[in-house]
Amino acid sequence: MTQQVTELLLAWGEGDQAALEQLIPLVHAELRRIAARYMARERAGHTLQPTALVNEVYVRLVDVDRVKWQNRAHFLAVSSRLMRRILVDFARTRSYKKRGAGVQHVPFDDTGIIDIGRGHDVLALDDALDVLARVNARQSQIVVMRFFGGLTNDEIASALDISAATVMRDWKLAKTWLLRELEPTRTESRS
Amino acid sequence: MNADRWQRVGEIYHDALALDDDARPAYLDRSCHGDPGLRREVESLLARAADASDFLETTALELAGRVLAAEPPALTVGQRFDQYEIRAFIGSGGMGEVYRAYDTRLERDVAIKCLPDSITAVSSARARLEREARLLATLNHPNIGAIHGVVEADGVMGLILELVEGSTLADASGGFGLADALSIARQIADGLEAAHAKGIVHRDLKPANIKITPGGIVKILDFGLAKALDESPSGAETLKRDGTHAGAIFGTAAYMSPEQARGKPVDQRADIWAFGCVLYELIAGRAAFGADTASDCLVKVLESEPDWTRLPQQTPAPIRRLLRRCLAKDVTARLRDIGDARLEIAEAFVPEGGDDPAPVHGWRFRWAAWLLACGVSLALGVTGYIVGRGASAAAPMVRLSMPSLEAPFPAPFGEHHLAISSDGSRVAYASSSRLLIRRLDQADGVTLEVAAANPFFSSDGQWVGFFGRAADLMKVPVAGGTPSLVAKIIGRPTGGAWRPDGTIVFGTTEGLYHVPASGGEPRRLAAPNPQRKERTYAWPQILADDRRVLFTIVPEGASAGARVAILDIEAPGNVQTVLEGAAAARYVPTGHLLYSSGSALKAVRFDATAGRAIGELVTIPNVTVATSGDNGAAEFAVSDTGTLVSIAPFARIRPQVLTWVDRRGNEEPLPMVPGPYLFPRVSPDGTRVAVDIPGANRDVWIWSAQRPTPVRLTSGPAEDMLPTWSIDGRRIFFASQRNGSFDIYSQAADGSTPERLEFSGPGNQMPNSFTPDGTQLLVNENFRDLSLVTLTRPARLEPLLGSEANEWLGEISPDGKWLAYESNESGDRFEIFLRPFPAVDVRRETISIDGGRYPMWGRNGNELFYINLNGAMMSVALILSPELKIGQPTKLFDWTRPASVITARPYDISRVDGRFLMGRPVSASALPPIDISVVINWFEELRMLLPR
Repeated sequence: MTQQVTELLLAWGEGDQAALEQLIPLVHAELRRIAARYMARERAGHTLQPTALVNEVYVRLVDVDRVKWQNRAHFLAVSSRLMRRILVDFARTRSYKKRGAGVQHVPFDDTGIIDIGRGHDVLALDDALDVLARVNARQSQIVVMRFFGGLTNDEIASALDISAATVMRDWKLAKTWLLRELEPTRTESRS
Repeated sequence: MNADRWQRVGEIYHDALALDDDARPAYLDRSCHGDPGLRREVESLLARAADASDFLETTALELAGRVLAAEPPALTVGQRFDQYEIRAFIGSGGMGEVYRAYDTRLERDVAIKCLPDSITAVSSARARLEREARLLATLNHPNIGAIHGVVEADGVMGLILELVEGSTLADASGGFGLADALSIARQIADGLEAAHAKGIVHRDLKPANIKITPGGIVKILDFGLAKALDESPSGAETLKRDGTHAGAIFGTAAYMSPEQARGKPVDQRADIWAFGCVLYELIAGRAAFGADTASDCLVKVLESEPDWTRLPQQTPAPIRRLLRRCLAKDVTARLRDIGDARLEIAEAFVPEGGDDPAPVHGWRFRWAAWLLACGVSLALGVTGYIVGRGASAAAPMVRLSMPSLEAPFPAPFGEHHLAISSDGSRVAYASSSRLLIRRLDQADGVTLEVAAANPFFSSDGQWVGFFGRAADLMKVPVAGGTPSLVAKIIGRPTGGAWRPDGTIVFGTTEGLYHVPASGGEPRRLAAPNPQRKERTYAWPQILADDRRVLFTIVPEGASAGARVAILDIEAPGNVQTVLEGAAAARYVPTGHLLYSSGSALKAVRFDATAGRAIGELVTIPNVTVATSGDNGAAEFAVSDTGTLVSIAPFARIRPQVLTWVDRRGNEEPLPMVPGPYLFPRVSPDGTRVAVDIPGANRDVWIWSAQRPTPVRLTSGPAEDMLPTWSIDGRRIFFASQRNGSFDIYSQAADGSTPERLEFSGPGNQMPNSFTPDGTQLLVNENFRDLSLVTLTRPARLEPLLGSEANEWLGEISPDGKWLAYESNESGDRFEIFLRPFPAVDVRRETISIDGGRYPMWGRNGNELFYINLNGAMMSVALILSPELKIGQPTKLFDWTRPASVITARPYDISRVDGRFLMGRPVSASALPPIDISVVINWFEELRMLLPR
């Protein structure tokens, strides 16, 4: 499993789009499996480290040791893109299902859309990240790597070959901009 | 906003953020002077800075965790679901997840399609599904993937389906030849006819629902499921409903009949339309109604004709007519009965002239042959041809080859690289750095980046066992995954065999062992008996009674005298010889033994009960196999279904360009022709190089600058290898097995005196290096331990290091006081160690970090080199006296990864200028590719050669 995922990720990182098609269902199913276990532990009353789930996902899905040292950073960047893709796809199908099934049958506060805070959902964030990427691709990438990929500033710095301080600056600016962009009442024009 | 402006916004924002609140307005006045838009932008961001501080700080996965957990996968691999054991996750389709499972009651593999909540939660939908599934279960036709039933357990509802191996027509790229296309279409028509006769309509026939099995049989999948699950494609409504899944719709829209596209009721003529689409695509190599979007597709379906000019010129008139009749947009004008299509196709096969007395028989035969060739060759991407024309009832023999595979690892000690599962569906191939497991009907397969040798399949075909390069027996599921350790082994591996009870019998140079496949301590069944001049037990196979082991006994000396024997696992003491002059024997269900003899593949009739070979020995024509003189390894494998795979003799060693490399990695090739040189050793004066050239007659050769080709130094039929220069540069010491096991010989470097036996002890001794005074030789003993041979007359041997682990490649420091060597004594991997010499037990230091192989001292003794597991040449600075100080390993340059069990250093260092002498492999493209030849239905030939 890890072998296969690792290889597919490497292939996708080298531009093989077909690899992505294979990756998504594979990783998606495994993510759900990991999450189910993780939540079961949480329900059992264990206190969980905030990053435990992310770590578990990497450990179970990706054979990071097998990836060459120098490629590691690039590899983590690719993994982050995959996580974005899967979670966004997941949210999209869920929100479609809710509409399709008739809202009256599904309590609105039930599971469904991935709430990223402040009442915004991950689909809106996905769109906003595309907008951001057009004016500053790096900032958009940093958000993808941190938020979707769960990477640390140091890992991002090494992947993008910039300083950790620059990562922090970009990260702060980008999420402030995203927060504003996502506000539904915002009327200022996107100049 | 453009990028420059955003850049500016960012700069001002960060600067302002660093200021106190009351200093910001003045700063903004200055920096945004005359640009109110810029100021507004910055201010609106500053206003949210505090609010944003904890925004997005929890990762998406944490946030999604709860949502993801709410939909755990329906089934888990390893779980029991009713009478089924879930074996693997196959994929998730539009309807739900699909698993591979084993039916414990009926003892067969099945596929389980888990049904979505939208069906299982609604009682009317459930009832309909159960009703439909019962009807569909009555469909029993070789060209239809069967539905066995519906099972509900643990809150999961699953459709139990026939497990159909193979690839779908949608996976096949490009067009088919006309004959292949028609043979596939005919089988589709057969399947449709059987279903239509029962009033069952597929409603979603498309290339993705049509598979070709490894045996070349066409199977229509998901018959009637569209209706059972009420997911019938019905035009505009479907489009709207599945709007987010353009791909899924696209796949369907291109095969949707006009009446379906209009949302009208559907009957069997919708299948006939789809059949026409598929047939067109098979012949023309492109979709009849292809377009970039689903809606464009539907427009074409409703309004346009397919491009008839795309059909190849030789398309027979009946087929052109058939296509037009299938693809008539008016349903009343369309072909009514799929049986007519079958007849039209049959007509197209009738040879020209049409009055052939046996046309039906003739085309049937060719059709079956085409089918096989197409079912297999399409997947292998190779050409196949029919060679056998046996009895009319028999399936024809087909020869294929799987070309252009990476060459296997150079194996001076003999290994094989090829295995086939007993059902003939999969082949495993161990190349130099990868283990490929591929289905014979699929072009791609599982590739594991692992150096492997001697692969073998489990009896159920679900696992591949193999030997890693670090003395371990491994296994991996055929579907891929991380290989897991079965057992550490002692000695060099000589093959394995998997028993149905889940245990493995394997061989090493130390004997035959038995171990649970789940892991454990191997139990030795039998060991070669030196008194009977037996050297190695190898190449075990479990006979059909599941308790007797067929294996090869390699004698001391050349393997020409190998013989095949049988022992009983329950009473292993009694070894019964079956056949002399034979190696790597395999019993096949036709009642024959196959075995190698030189590069010939031979066969003899065999009474398995009595364990007796009967009658004449015959050589199999048209097949030669690569073999090893060392232990009788032979590159062939045969399935119980009669598929024979083999590799013809090939140059086992990749040619190398011997190259000087300085410590910065600068290379200078020697003026020497590339060749399969192993273990180059430069003479102390730096003018000559001794190399070990493997081959049928492995010898030591000497190169000097006068000419580009080396000159043979040693001769004789035995293997002479691992050259080592004497300290004065006048003699070459080497290992040779001319008296059975490896002993130490020497020869004047100019060839002027006869070869001389220097030391012969029990077991094998091979030279590593000399002590600096030249009086003693460090040797590898029995491929395991380090010993010291003192070259007095008579020479004597004393053990130096002999733990259970391997201690290899001893090198004494120039001051004579330290021993460097490589060993796996500290764990799984090899590390470089240092011990005082000769008092080796006093102290041990680890030199390498994270693994290392092939230690060698620098000229002055203040540096030790080794190659790390990533293939980098490493240097460790050392101060030896008065007190040992060890520096950190530093990398000098990248070379090739050590990937072998070879107990010799693959490089040397010039005593003259300190440069490294290394082999640079010629590029892979310069190598002849290795072909695996595949013969399907080969047993018929065997039966003709040696009738029972």
